Amino acid sequence: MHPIPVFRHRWLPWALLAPQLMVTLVFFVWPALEAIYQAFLVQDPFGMSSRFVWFDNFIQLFEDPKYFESLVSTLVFSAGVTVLSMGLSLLLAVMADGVVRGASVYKMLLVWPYAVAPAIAGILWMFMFDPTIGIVAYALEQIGYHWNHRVNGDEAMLLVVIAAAWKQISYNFLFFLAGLQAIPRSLIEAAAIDGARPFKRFWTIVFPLLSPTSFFLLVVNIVYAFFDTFGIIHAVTHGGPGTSTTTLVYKVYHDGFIGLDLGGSAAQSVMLMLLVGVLTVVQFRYIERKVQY
Amino acid sequence: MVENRFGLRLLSHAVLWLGVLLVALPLWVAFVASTQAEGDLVSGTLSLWPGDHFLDNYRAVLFGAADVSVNVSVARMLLNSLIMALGIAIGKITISLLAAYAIVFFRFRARMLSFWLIFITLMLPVEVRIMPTFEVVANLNLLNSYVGLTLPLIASATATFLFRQFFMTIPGELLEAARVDGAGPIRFLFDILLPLSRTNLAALFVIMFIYGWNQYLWPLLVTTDDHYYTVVMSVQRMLAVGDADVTWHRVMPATVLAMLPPVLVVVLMQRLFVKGLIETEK
Amino acid sequence: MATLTLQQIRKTYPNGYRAIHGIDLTVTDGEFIVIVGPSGCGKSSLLRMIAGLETISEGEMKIDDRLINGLEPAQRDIAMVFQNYALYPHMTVYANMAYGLRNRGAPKAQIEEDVQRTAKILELEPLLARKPAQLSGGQRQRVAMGRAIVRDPKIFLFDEPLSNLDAKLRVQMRLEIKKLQRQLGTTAVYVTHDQVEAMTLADRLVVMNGGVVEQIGTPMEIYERPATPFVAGFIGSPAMNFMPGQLHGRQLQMGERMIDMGLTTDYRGSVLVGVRPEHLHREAGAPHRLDMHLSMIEPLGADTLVYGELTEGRENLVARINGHFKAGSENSMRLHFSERDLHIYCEQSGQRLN
Repeated sequence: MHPIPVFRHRWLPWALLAPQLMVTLVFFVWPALEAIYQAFLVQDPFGMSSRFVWFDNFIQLFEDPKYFESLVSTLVFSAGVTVLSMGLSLLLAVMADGVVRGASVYKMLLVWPYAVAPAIAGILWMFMFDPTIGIVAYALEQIGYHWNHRVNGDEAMLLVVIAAAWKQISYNFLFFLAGLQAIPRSLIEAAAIDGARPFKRFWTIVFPLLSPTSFFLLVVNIVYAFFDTFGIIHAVTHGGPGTSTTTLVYKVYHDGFIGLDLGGSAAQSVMLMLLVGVLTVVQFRYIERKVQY
Repeated sequence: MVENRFGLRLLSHAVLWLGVLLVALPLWVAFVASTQAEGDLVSGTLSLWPGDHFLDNYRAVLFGAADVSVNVSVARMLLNSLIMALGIAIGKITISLLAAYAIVFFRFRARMLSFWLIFITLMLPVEVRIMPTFEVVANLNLLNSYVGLTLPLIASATATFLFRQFFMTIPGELLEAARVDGAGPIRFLFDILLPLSRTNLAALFVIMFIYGWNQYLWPLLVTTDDHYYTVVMSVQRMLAVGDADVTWHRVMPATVLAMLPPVLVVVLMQRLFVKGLIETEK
Repeated sequence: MATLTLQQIRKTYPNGYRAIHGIDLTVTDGEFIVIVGPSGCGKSSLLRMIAGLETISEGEMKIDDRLINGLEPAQRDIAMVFQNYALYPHMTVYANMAYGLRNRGAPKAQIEEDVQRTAKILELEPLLARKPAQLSGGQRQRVAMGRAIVRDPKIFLFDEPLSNLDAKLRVQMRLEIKKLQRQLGTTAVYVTHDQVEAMTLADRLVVMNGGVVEQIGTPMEIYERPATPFVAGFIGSPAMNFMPGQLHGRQLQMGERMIDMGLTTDYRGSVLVGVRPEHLHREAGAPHRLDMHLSMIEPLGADTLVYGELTEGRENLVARINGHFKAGSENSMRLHFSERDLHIYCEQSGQRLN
């Protein structure tokens, strides 16, 4: 009957909000508006003059086969990272949920890669696959496969996928394990009494009950692959060889800072913002069902 | 598993160990490489056991210039990274806590508008607004400064939401009791709310520290002066040698040193870390 | 030494809901006032307005001669015991009790002395270093009391403070609160929906319903002469029986029966006639009688509750019969009552007529 009690104060709430709002306005909202504005301009690289060109930048973007290629690369990369990382994590989480003893030890041994920066993760794996001194490249050589991600685009893609997936395993593992441990024991026991073997139990009982976690992780992993892996790409392949590992986020950076195509880069930024917007809404749709705001 | 069969358990442990080894392998290889002499890393096959140059290599990068292309010591980079990580973690937590406090415990005009404005930042990661954000920071004369490294990254919708969620679970009677006891909004914040938020603060701090430490693109953009380089971005700078050979005996110790602090934080504060991770994503 | 005066107090919430429709009340110094009523009657809103936790929409509120309408809770010199105790979970018992004093800038030595003295009164001394989570429900209740007492306020406010305790502890704490209040002589306003608490604690009772005061009086006044059918039905357990009747001046007609009430009212017409279950007797000592069909019997030990229907009129009826009662094969019984124990209300206005 009584609403949440609150304080009454004329200016204090504004003072409390001010820092967060200032930072948000100056470093988030203003640049975003700027990006939207620039997306409608053509500017010479030195910023001496600019001209309003309506949707020309976007039209150019959509007509550019490179942009399409980059979109495909991003999708391949994201699908690879998501499938590899979620698959391995689910396997490990199911195993860790099953062992009676030592689950917490495994947890400790599996979660630390979360703390490794994407760029560092990329460098670790790049070193493993280094064509001259990398041990994986050496092992591949022994079985007759010559690995060189510096010239082979597919190999470069595989390398960044592995590095990105490796870093994300710990995150997925923790959430899968938490999801598994939240499934009531009695359900699994009931299924066992109904005669379901372990493998069948997993697919008919555990996996469906885990689907909210899986869906959540799917969205998180896609967001991660799209936006948080810039460091891996930049440190390992610089988008190459050629443009084989140029993801959308890397292309924004490359076209803007290296190519100095401000309008084109801004148009790409706008496209990415729309994409994040959609993903955020999807994510919050999911959260809404769990948490009451 | 309901069955407690030996075979099944053995399989589980085997798969888990395989997973642990797979996850740890790159770290081990990096550590091994960081202890080898320069010549052993140019060609041929790398040993799987540490060499005897551990002290030499680490001392060289920690206290001397890290590399020919990066004219600053790794010790200095670690310091820069620490300043940046602490600045971002403390900054994010402070301003988010205050904002959430205002939104939950006060009623004022434009309360919901402010809330949505903060929410919008979720949709605007640095990566998608690189150029204009860089311009703003450049115009404010913040390139090559600690403020420039930290300030633009400290707005946080996630942390604000987390605190909001937590504050909403505080019983209203507690606030009323405090008012009867003569505590105003500021006293209530410091005497009651902050002590009650201790675990949440710590958990969030762990997550935000790692986030700050691992920043890559932003320091790459705003630092051109070696003395502001953070360790994570420097490793990449050390690799960018053009046609010359990569000096792995310097890169690898730097790599290991770059990941050591956040990994230690996760391992040592695992309970807080897991809590922070799960809560921030709820 | 404090009196509390409420003049035409009204509360309207921002959404337009009118919780309180104009209340006048004077609480004299040292008095223990209990506000009782069903949930949603506005009793909590009223208490929270006295505390300063809710704004007063209209009217004047004074402590002694000081207008307190616009004052913060802390400036009103009141102390409150909350329903869920609202102890600060991260502070020790000592710090919980000291917090209000510290905020007022009391010197350390003074705080120490006050807290120790209060702890002694409430036998909290061994618990001072503990945190609320380490206390039992009863102990928490005591600490909440201690936090109120230690400030030596002008007025104690209690918001259903015993509702979270089990039955036995509730009786014990009830006695203790009463004893303490007597001992300290502090004016107290206590809100509850439990009529037993209300009857046992109050110097005077305020019965509220739907945002208005139905009656103010001592517990016995209210029990013996409830001013409205609502009060008559609310106070007393089991609730009062009501039957229809017709009033013809002095004479009350119930069915075929005429009862000389000796009233001086001019009212003629339909009335509600109330009689408490405990005023219906099996012994033939009282002058009037009625017959009921038995439907159920509840032995309570000392008394027995007998439920049934009035033979003429079919109204539900309860009687509280002394001692043990065993129903024989007969399914009806005859009950006796005195006209002195009847409560007569105008059917339209609800006004008491006798």
